[in-house]
Formats: sequence, structure tokens, C-alpha cells
Amino acid sequence: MSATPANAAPRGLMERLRTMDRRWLFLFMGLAIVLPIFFPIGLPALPGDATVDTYDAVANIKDGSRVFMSIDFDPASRPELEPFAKSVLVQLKRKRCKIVIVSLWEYAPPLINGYVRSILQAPLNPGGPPDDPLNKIYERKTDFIFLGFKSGKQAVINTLGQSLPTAYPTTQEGEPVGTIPIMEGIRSVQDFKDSGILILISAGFPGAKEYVELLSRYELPIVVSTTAVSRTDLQPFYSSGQLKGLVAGMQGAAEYEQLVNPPGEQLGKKGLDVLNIGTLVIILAIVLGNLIYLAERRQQKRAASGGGAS
Amino acid sequence: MNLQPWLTADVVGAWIAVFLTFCILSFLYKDNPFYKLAEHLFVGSSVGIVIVNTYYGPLKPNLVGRLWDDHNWWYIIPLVLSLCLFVRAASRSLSWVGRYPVAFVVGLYAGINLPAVADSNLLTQARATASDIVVERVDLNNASPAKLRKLPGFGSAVAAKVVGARKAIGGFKAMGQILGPYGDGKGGLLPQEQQLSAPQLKLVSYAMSGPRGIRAQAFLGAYHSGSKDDPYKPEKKYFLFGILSNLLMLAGTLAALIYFYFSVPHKGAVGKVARFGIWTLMLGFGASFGYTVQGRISLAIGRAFSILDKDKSELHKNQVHSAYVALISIVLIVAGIIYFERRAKRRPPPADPGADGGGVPTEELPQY
Repeated sequence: MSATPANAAPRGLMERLRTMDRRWLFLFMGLAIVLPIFFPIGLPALPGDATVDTYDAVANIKDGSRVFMSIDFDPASRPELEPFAKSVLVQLKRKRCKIVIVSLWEYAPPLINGYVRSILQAPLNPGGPPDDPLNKIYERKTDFIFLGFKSGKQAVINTLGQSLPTAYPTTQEGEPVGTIPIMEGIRSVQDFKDSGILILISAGFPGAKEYVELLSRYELPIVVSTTAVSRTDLQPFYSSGQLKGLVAGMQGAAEYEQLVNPPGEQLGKKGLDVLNIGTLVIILAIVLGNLIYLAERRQQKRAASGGGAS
Repeated sequence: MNLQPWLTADVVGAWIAVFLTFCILSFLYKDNPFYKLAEHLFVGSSVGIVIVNTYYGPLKPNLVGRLWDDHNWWYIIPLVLSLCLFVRAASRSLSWVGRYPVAFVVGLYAGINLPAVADSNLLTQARATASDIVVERVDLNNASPAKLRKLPGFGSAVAAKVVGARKAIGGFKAMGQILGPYGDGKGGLLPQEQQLSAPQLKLVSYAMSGPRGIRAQAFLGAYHSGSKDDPYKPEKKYFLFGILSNLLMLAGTLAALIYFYFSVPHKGAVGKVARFGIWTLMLGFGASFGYTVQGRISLAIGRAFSILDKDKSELHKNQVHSAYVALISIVLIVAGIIYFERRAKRRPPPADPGADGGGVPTEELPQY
């Protein structure tokens, strides 16, 4: 690196900030993410209307109803969607609901099998009363069924709206769907309309948007949890009433955790401090960048008018 | 919780994940061989997984199985169409053959999507935008639970409790009374299950104030018990902020649509409306950017939780010890980067092509 010549003009603050190595910003961002994990602040996150609507829609279904869930995300989206997935399964378990789970993403099944083992097939309140619904061990085929991953994207969703056994003739273990007790009387997702709900946990394509586009003509009660990036795509569907509820990103998932209060670790709530501090760093960086830009423009105008005068 | 200890392969996999995370993050300092290693591993393993999943997912059950096991010879047609796609890569002159399967897929998905998208994205959205602009305030003393649900912070349970409370005391006299505790009208209190729970109370009290708060969107009308001797004449009051919001939403939607109407030059009044449309679009893009930032930070949080073992049970934490693996990875990567930088400095710099007047042939320059 060459030494600064002795007679060079001192660089102003704005100039130094403009040419600052951006790795300093990466370092601030890294500290903003790591430090709140070790020193939590406990910033509040009161649930917004969309999250309350989602919670309400699930809470208002009759105890023991059959519910349809499509879990369409991969490990990359776990931080944003897993807190909701676990919370809603706990909420459904409290209501003794029966759950039919499908997936349109090939990397989702290992995650889903993990949730089934750790939530549906495990006692969640071991010290509580024996008749606590959270302690029930869900039986496969009578209390829940995971039909597995099916490729085909919109074609599968379209078929689900007309005939579920055509979309899923067998389970992922090869059993004919018609022989599964929990599937008795279910011809398509329309059969969940009156007694149940459709819960979509979606990270992208194919996912909630395609479900809403292809199935909204049946006027089904649908609630969605999605990544923050997809919120703006799905907000119009929520505002128009095509979705009964919408939970977006880690913020929404943390709000939902607050409403459900599931036992065990609540990662969404833990991530809130980090999310807020990290967002604050980005905001400060954007504000600083704009101040530097405005200062530069003013300097250029001064230089131009000063050059014109001479 | 129903937990089993992880197998050795799972533990080693977790260690590799921590190491590769730091390899990727090392790019924030500068491009280096560790980052390249992680990147190439990611690309290679992704391609491998996609190929295997594509074969065992759709291909084997839907094509290979149907032809080979079920002898359903109609499936020769999709087999031929699939092979036609590869002709494009094999022969330039025969690439037209690949257009037929593409046409089939495009036609299929257009047929599935067009009517659905036209209804859900266009007609339903237009209907929702054309809804009532006027917003009435909610009469806390007489509104049905469904109308009370529209207030911020009101879920079904809160609405039901408020309805029960106002019936017990013959109507609220002050807005703050909806926070409770609810009296039974005889000097005592309603049972605990009819009072707002702590989380519900927190939610409702937070939603009380502000331009969109309960105090702004609701009012206290004269309570009517609903009996035949007490006919109910609903009072109408309007929520000004809500009306202005709806007008702004309508104006922004129309202005944004006008911006995309290019059959008329964007000058004069049309130009001004189109400019307002651009501002509306920019607001939307800004919101989208904000959510994208939130999404990316969430990914970083997920990785941080994984490295610090916050997402694992005690049993698995004690197997993996991610913090130690993280420290070892950081030391290895830093040492590696220092080594590669020193090695690069020790190499002779490339000769200046113009120094001797004749230039040095490119193939004789040292290659990095």
C-alpha cells in the first residue's frame, strides 16, 4: 500500500466513509447477529393482525377435526418456518386434531418426519396429567398420515382440488390411500372445507401462491406461513380474504409462538432480538449511505458553481 | 421429547456443516480456496442430489415403472417426448425436434394456470379493490363478535369475553373498561375463564391507542339488551383514517395501472398521475426490499443458532460440541488464508510486456 504524500489534502469524514472498506460493515453485521444471542435484550413482539387471524382460524376449528397440511420448505428456510410449523402442530395436538400431511418439495420429508417424531409421536408435557392431549402419542394412519413428496408442482395441486387419491394413490411407504382409516371419506381437499382447515407452510415455488391460485375457486379456509421474501406476493390474497391468515418470516413465526406458547425451546422468540438489531444496522447503513450521497452531490454543486465563478 | 442419540455419521455431518459455513463466510474477507472448496462441493452435491431425486421421484414410478413393470406401452409417448429434449443438445440441425415436448409442457401449464390465475389474481383482486371505501367505527356495546373481531388485537376469544362482560354489566361506560377486570354487575367479578388472560390483555392494551387503535376505530354506543321492548337503532360513526387509507389505496392502484398504460403519452395530467403511480410502486418495492433483508438476516440467524447449538437438544449438543468445531474451523481457515497469501506474494510478479520494447509472449508469462 503506498504512503499518503505529505502535501495531500486531508480527506473529509464523508470521503473517508465513502471509501471505507465494506468489510467493516460485514463485521458490524456479524457482531449485530452474534452479540444479541449471548446478551438477549428481550425486545417485545406483539402479534400483528395477520398472525392473530391465523391463530384464530386454527383455534376456531372443532376439536378432533381433520386438517390438511402442506409443508413445502427445505433446510434453508428452517429459521423462518420451523417455529411456526412446530407451534401449529402443538396447537393442533392440543385440539386433538387429525392431520393429513403432504409435501411438494423433495427436501421436506426428512424435516417432516422429524416433526412427526418429536411432536406428534412424543409426550410434550411428561409431568402433566395423563389425559393431557399434549401427551397423546399419535398413531400413524388413524391420528395422522404423511403421504409423502409428490413431484408435479401445479399439476399435483390442481389434482388435489379434484381428487386426492389420484394425486396420492399410495403413501410414501406404498400403502394404498384408500385403506388408510384417517383418509376415509376424503375425496379431495374440498372435504376439509366445513370441518377443517388447510395449513400451508411454504418457502417458495411450488407453494402457497399456487395453492391459492388453483384452489381459491373452492373457497377453502386456508392459512399460510411463508418466508419474509414472499410476504408481499401473498399479502394481496390475505387482504382480499382468499387467505384467512398469513404468518410471514421469523417475526411472524415468533409472534405465533407467543400466542401458542409451545413447550420447549422457542427459537423464533430467541431470534427476534437478533433480527431487530440486525435490521437496525441495515437501516443505519442505508441512512449513512444516503447522507454520504447527498453530501457528495452538494460538494459537486459547490465545486461546479465555484469553478463557474472563476 | 422422543430423542435418540445421533449416529456417528450424523455427528460428522454436523461438524462438516460448521466447517463449510465458515468456509463460505470467509468470502466476506476475500475470495480464497476454502470458499472455492465449499462452493464447488455445494454445486456438485446439489447436482448429484437433484439427479438422484429426479430419477427416484418422478421418473422411476411414473415412467420406468409403468413401462418396465406394468408394461403400459402408452408411456412410450412421454418417453419419446423426453428423449426429444436431449436431441437439442446432441444435434444443432435436429434441434427443432425439441420444440414439441416444450410446446406440450407450455400448453399443459398454461391450461392449468390461466383460468386459475385469471380468477385469483385478477378478478378477485379487482373485486376486493372495488369494495366499500367507507369504514364505520365499531360500537363496542352492541357489535356482534364478528364485527368486534375486526378491531386490532381482538381474536375470537377476546371478542367473546368482551361480549360476555358488556352483557353482565349492561354496557361499558368507558373505553378502558374493556381491559378488565370484568365485573358481574352484582359487585363481584366474572369467573377467571371469562377474564382476559395475560397475553390477551397485553395485546388489547397495546392496540388501544394510535391512529389505527381501538380508541380510534371503536366507540361506546348506548347499550341495548336485545329484548323486544328495547329496539336497537344502530348508531353510525365513521373511521376517518380508514376512509383516507382506502382512498389512498384506490388512488395508488389506479395510478400504478395508469403508469403501465403506454397508449397515451405521459404528459400533463396523465404524467402527474403516472408519477404518483411510480411512487406507489416504489413504496411497494421498498417494502419488498425490507422483507428481503429480514429474510436474509433470518438465514444468518439460523446458521448462528446451528453453530452455537441453540437448535439442538442437550443430548445432541453434547455429541456435536459445535462451538469447539467452530473455533478449530476458524483457526484452520485463517491459517490457510495467511499461508495462501504469503505464497502468492513469494511468486515473481508477471513481467511487464512493454519493458524491453519487444514484449513478452503471453504463453511465457507465469500463470496463477
